[in-house]
Amino acid sequence: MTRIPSHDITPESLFWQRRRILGFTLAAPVASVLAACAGPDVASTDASAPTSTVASAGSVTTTTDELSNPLTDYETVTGYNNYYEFSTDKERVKDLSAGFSTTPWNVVVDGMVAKPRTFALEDLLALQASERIYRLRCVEGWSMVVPWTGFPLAALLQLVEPTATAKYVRFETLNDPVRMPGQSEPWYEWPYVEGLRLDEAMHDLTLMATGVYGKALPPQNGAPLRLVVPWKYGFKSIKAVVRITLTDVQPTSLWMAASPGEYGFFANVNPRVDHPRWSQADERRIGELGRRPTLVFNGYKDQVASLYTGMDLRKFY
Amino acid sequence: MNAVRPRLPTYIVLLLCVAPLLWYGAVVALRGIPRDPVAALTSWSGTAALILLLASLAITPLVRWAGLKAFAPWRRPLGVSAGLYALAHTLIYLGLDYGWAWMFIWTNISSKRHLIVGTLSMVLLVPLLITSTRGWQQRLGMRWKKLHLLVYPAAIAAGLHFFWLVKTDIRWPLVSLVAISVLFALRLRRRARAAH
Repeated sequence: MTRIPSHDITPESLFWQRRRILGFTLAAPVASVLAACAGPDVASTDASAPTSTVASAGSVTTTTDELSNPLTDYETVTGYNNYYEFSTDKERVKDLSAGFSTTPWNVVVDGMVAKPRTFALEDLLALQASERIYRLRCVEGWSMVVPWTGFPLAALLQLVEPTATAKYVRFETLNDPVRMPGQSEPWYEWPYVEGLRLDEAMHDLTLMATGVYGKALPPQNGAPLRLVVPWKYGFKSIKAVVRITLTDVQPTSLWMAASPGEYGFFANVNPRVDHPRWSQADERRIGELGRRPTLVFNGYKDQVASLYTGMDLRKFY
Repeated sequence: MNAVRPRLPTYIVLLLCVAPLLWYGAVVALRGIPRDPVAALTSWSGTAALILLLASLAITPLVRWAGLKAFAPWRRPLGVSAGLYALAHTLIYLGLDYGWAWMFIWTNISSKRHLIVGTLSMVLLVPLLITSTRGWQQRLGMRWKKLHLLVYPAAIAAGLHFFWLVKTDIRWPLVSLVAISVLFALRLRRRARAAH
């Protein structure tokens, strides 16, 4: 198994951050120059950013996840995207989505809430953002490690006050075949729909991402606003969200409608429950050769397993 | 149609055999190295193998029904290169994708129908590749022809492998399966006729 050499995963932003520090300290004692050269940890300390808060656009505060997996490099994170609204070819999404306009952008939050509201994107960008390094496990058997920035979905839901009858959250992507040409393909029932149980949606790990690698989310990664649920297969993390509806019926996702035998509502990462067409026991981290064993709940078992106590995860896949 | 000259320059068929390499070389030159090179190599080698396999099977009806005898010498190089791309496809899967991790490979193959038929196709193609030389052809005599009819089940297995692999857009897998079935049916009909 080949590991990415650390110099390959140095994010562009961090590189520039180091340069900046070097520049500032040109006339300063040699010690600070050495400190800047010592690597990312020192650099982030220098940027005086607590690890949970975004320091500035274009920066990440660490180079690995909590399991010491190196971040997938920026070019790969933004150049290899499953986004059928633009193309089924993951490597073409970047180019095909390049001109996608996200201004203005509104997000309707409605359904079983005390205070339904239409948010302008700016309202959401004003919410307290933090950096989250998450593993992304695609149902197709590949994975990445991505530094997202965004706010917990719970923070948004608290603003609209879900009623006691609300049990599920339904998400919808923009429906605009002109701007998203893939939506002209007849194979699927557009727009893309996903759903979470309310307790899953309120979980602290559940993120609404507005950025990646400290930069604004590029179109191919789901600009301007996307869901990230790291313990579920990637397709649950719906992109370009325009509507969030609280409901008491379990939403039927696009994938559940397209292929009910293959895609369930929960879609928790589970090496013991195979996809009908392939094994889920292992995965290839993009950039590596060979395979890694897939972790239960994608390695977030300690945080999320309690959500599913007593459930047969083979049945509720 | 019989006016076609009995000999075609050999380099044309050799060009066809290396066309996938040239094509993917051009893709890399224009678009850069794929983000997931392993997946790209897997899909490229598999596609090349299937197309060349179909091309080699199409030679027989071209020669027999359309009377284009000049194409007859193309069958072997097309078939051999199809087998070699299939072998590359298999080695990429086993070595690059799975790093020879036999436990992972075994659980993966044994539980998935597209991998089972893919393996079957490769297993059928290996003896054909080995015996593809003129020496083996002479040594085996009439049995060689019978043995090499295995290319049809191998092709059907390869088509099924493709069909069961894709997510939803089954247009190309269907095209290849229909093409293989038609070619196989033509061949069976001819054998049935010959038997009468």
